[in-house]
Amino acid sequence: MVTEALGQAPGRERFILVAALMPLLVAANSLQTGLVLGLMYLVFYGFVIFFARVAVFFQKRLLFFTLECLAAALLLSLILSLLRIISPFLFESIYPSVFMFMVLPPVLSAWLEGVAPTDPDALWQGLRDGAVSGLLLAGFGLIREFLAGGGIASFGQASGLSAIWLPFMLQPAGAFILMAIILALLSFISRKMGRD
Amino acid sequence: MLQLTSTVFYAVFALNIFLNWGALSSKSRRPQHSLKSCLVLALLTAALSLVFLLSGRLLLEPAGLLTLTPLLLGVLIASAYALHYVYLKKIKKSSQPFRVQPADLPLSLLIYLASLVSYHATAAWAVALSAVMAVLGYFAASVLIFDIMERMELNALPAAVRGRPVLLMTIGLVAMAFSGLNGLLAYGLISGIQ
Repeated sequence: MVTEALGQAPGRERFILVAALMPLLVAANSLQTGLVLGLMYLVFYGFVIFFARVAVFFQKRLLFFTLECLAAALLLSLILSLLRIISPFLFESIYPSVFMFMVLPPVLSAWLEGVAPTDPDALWQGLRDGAVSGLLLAGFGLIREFLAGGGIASFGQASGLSAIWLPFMLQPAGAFILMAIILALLSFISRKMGRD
Repeated sequence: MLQLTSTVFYAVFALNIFLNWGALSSKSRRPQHSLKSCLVLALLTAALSLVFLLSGRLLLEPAGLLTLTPLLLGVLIASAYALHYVYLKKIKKSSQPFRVQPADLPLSLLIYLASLVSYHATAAWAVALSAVMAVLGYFAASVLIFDIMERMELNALPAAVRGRPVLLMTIGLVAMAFSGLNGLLAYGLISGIQ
């Protein structure tokens, strides 16, 4: 009964997007990590949407899906190589999380199947959702870092050293609880606005 | 080692939560997890992890091509879906064109998991342990959360937290409980070493 209620709730398609995003949200526990993951997500998302659209146009889904996976892997390798050159330290901290991006092509393809891929408006809506998701990743990193240590290391403030606020925010549990609070707040606001 | 076990647990936990509760439209009844499905998950995780471990450590790392690991992952994901499609077409005689269904997504989760294990694991026993953790994460993400959510229906919750917010809070609390267990294990190990 519970899964039925959740499964049929409005905006289920967008919830599949959160499925793709959630492991990345768990990994984004600082502003720096969130920004890098958010930017990578944006690039990846645009890329996958483009391939999915082309696949529908040419009616060669399997071929294009295979190409999509391989090209996505090459893109990820390229981004990783650049990151290794620019900042080896950041590369070491990001490297284990970036493999999550390879789960994105199948998840996003499944999502696109459910949102009328031939509809031109779906492309723009998809790109908008992608941009919001990228921003969400960066925002999540910022909020979690701030709540955990009372400061943001990227802004020159000591994080986790001078103050310990909510250290669990750095743990994966922090991502789920923060997401729950955000959803509850959104639900509360939408109910209030509907009533007013 | 602790990093490996907790990473595997959280990866399976987080992705399965959304496959069970968000992405799969067909999941309208209580998830049934037999010993067989747990064994299949553990064996596939271990086998795929060994493939990654051997190819990464023996081929890519000595050549300094560690950044090409995603390509290996891409090849495995594409092959898995292509094989699945061929199986459906030839064995199940399906006439449907190729499309990625939400129900097929655990395939990519499994491959991703194997890549994670191979990145952290240093020995075969570590791969075996991570396979066990994968099963634990799989169990916690479905059966445990489902039980809690069923009990939650009996409570009078505020309207704003009903549905997904309370589900996510529950998931967060289960994840936090595992963090505590993990910390306890780490403390025990450190004390034991000292």
